[in-house]
Amino acid sequence: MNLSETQIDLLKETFNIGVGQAAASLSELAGGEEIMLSVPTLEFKTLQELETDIRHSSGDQVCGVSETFRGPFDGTAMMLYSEEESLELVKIMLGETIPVEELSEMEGEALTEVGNIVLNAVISALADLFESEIITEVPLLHTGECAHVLEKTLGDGTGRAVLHLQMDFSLASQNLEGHIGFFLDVASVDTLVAQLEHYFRKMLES
Amino acid sequence: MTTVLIVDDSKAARMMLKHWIKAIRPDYQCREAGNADEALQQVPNLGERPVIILDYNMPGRNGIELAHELVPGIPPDRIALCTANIQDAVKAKAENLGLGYMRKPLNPKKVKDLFEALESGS
Repeated sequence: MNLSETQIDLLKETFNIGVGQAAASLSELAGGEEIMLSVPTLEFKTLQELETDIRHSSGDQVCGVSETFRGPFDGTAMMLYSEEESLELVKIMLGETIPVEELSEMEGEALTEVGNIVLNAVISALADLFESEIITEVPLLHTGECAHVLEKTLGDGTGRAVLHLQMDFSLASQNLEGHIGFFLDVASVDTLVAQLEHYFRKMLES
Repeated sequence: MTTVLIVDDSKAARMMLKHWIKAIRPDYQCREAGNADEALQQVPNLGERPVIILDYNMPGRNGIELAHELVPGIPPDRIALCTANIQDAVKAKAENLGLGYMRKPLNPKKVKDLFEALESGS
């Protein structure tokens, strides 16, 4: 699938706006810690290529919270970190409110909630931008081998290609980073691009 | 003539902003830069009291880092940070430098309000 330079620019900028707004929620959850964001990247990838990239950035064992969404365009949003980082994140979020021995018990629940808040913030920002409703399913947490997490999140898809939009985040004062990604099936990319171009034209007429 | 320099890595974002500025200030001249280095190259040629609008999240140096290099050569009240990143920490950095602040996504009303605020100080 070929996208023009302007279409890629619009996709990245829109995603940047969504994640930028979500960073405020993430910062609030982290007790006001500043969240640093990377610039967005956009790539078409097969699921195998995606797995190789994730192994490279987050290691073999990962933790991902995902939400599928549908509306003017359909896809899956995911927050992903390495397994060690996920426990660190929970410690920062829950701070001293929970005794250490109960932390790992709470880990799954806390991570799912963090994912839910952040992913919904991104999706809501996009829905507002397009003045339409995007329906999200409940957040799902998957941990373990990278391939397993990806299969659980995106389904089995040997050779299937997805559009992957990603931004990395890190906490300014901690050695902790994670990724926020959007995965769109190629069929949905056309719809999204058409929406973006419509939005862009409307803005220029206003 | 007042010159406005728009610094944003997104060409689409620059186009929209330029379009709205032209609508409210037809006599202003708009220039564009895609990153901090391109912006700094243009600064010596912007004339008297230019207005500079900076995106925050850009490849290389971000908008706040660039603002640190622009001030005091450009008065901070002629610079505005434009970002979707609405974290208190980012807002505080803009305020500490005395910059204007505009939240993305932009629209004509936000741009008009920004120019009125920038000019009320001049």
